[in-house]
Amino acid sequence: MKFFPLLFKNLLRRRRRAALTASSVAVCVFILVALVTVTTYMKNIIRETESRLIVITRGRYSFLDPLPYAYRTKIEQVPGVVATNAVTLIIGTAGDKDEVVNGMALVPETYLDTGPQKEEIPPEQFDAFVRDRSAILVGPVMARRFGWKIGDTVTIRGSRYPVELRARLVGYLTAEILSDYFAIHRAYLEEALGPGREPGVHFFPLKVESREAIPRVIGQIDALFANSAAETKSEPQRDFMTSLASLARNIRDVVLAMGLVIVLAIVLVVTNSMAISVRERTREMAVLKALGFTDGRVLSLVLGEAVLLAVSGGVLGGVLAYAVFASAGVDLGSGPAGHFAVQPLALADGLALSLLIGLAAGSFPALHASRLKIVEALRWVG
Amino acid sequence: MTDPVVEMSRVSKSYRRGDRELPVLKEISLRIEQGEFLALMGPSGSGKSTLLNLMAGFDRPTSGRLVVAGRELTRATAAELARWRAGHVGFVFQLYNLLPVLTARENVELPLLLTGLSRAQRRRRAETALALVALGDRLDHYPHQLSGGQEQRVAIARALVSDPPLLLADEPTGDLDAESAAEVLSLLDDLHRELGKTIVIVTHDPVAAARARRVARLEKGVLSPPVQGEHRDEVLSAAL
Repeated sequence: MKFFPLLFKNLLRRRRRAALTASSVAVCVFILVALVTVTTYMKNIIRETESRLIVITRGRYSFLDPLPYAYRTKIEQVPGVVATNAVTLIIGTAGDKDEVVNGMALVPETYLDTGPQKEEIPPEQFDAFVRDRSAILVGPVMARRFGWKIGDTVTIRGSRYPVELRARLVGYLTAEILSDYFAIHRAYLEEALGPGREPGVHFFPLKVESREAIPRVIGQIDALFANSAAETKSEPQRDFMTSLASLARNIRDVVLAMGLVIVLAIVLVVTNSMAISVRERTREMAVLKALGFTDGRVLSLVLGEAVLLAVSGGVLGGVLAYAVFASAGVDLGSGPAGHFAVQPLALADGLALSLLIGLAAGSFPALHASRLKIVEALRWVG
Repeated sequence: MTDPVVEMSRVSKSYRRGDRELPVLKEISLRIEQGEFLALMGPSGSGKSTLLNLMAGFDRPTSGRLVVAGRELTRATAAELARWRAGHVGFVFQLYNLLPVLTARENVELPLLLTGLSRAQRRRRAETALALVALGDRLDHYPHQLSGGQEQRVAIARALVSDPPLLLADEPTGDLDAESAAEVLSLLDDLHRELGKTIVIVTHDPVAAARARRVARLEKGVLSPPVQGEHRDEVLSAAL
C-alpha cells in the first residue's frame, strides 16, 4: 500500500496517454460484460423453459415459414394436447420517430397456458385484453420506450403486414423475454388485413398434459402434416429456445472471436504504452535501484502500474456496460426484466479480464525495467 | 582502531566491448576510514565514476576484494547488493535525479519506503533531513519548482535520510552555478565536520576537491595514493 502513491503519480504523469490506454481496456471489458450478460440471459430463459410442458410446432425448415391457421384445429384433436395457441410475429414501427417494434398476434384466451414464460399479468388487465378485440398488451420496456400507459391508444404500423393497428393499451406483459414486445388479438390482425389475406402462423405453442406425453404428441403432430405443402417440426419449448439461442450463439461466437482479437490488440496497445512509459523513465528506474529497490521490487512497481491502469479501464468499461444496459431500457436488479441486467458475475469477469490484460501487458516492460543495469541506465538520455 | 568504511584490495574493473576487454580500473587498493572526506580527481575517462559506482554497489569488480561498511561486495548477488545499498550508502548524482512527479518530501521519503517505518515516521524523518539541508520550507515543492542548488540539496537529503555510514557524490556541483555549488559544498563540509559523515566525492573541480581532507588522483585507471596537507594542495594547484 505504501507504494500506491508512487504508482498513482507515475500513472498520471502522462494523463492523456493513461486515459486513452485505460479507455481501450474499457472498450474490451464492455464487450465482455455485454456478451456475458446476454449469454446469462439466454441461459436463464432456457433453464426456465425446462420445467414447462410446452411444445412448439413450426414450419419444418424454419419458423419463418408460416403455417396455415387451419392446422390449429387438427393439432387440438391430438390426444394429450391441453391448449393451443397460434402466434404470428409482427414487425412494425411506432412513435414519432418510427422506431422498430416487435410483437405478436395470438389467441388471447389460451395465452396464459401457452405463453413463452409464466405470466403474472393482473387478472383485471388480462380480462380486459381478452374482452376487447382491439386491446393490446405491451412489455414494460416498450411501454417506457414510448411513454405508453394503460388507457392510451397506441398505433403500430406493420411492415410485413402493411396495416395500421390502433389498439388500446390495457395491461403489461410480465414475461421477461417479452419485455420489449407487444401482443394483440389474432382476430384483430385478420380484421385489419381484410378478407382473403389471412396471416400465416409462425408457430403454434401447445400445452401438453404431461412430460411423458410430449414425445408422442410431437410424433403425432408431425405425422399429421407429413408430405403436405407445409410440413411441421414440433419440439419441446426448451429445444425451440435452444435453437433460437444457437442462432444467437453463432453470433456470439463471431463476436467472441472478434473480442479475442480486440483483447490481443488492447494487450499490445497497453504493452506499448507501458514500454514507452518505462523507456522514458529509464534513469528513474536506475535511481530507484540505486536507492536500494531490488529488481523484484522494480518489476512489481511497473507491473502494478500496468495493472492499475488496466483495472481502471476495466472499472470504466463495467460502469459503461451497466449504464448502457440500464439506459437501453432494461430493468436492473429485480423486476420483470431483471435477468437482462448486468450481473455481478459479468462485472467480475470484466474486472478479471482487465487484470489479465494488465498483467500480460505489464510483464514485458516490467521485466525490462527489472533487468536494467544501474550504471548503464543512469547514462540513458531520453 | 575502528574498521575502515571502505577497504579495496587490488580491485580491477573491465568492460567487454564485443571481443575486446576494456580495462577501466587497474588493481586499485584504497582504505577510507570512518569520518573521512576524500575527493577523487582525474581527467574524463580516468575511471573516477566507475570507482565510485563500485563503492556504491552499483556494479561489481572484475577482480580484487572490496569491503564497504563491513560487507564484502565482490560476490554479493544483485538482490543482496540492493538491500545493502538501502541501508549503507547514500548517493548524490551530478544531475540530482529527483523523481519529477514527487514533491521534495516524497523524494526524500523514497528510500524509507524500503524500511518498516510507519508513514508518520517516514514523513518526520524526511522533514528532518530536509530541514538539515535548509529546505524545511520547500517540503511540498516539486523539483521543477526548485532551483538547481535546491534540487541538489534535496538529493543530499535523500542520500542522508536513512543515515548511511557512507555518502558518495559524483560531481555534485558539476551542473550548478558558482553560488549554488558553494552552498552544496558547504553543506557537505558541514555534514562531514558536524555529523562526522564519511564522504567521498568525485570531481573535476579543484575548488570542490579543496573541501576534502584527502585527495586521490586517478589516471587511466591507476590510482595514486591519497594525499593530504601540503601534498593535497600541490595536487589541487596542479589541477587548477
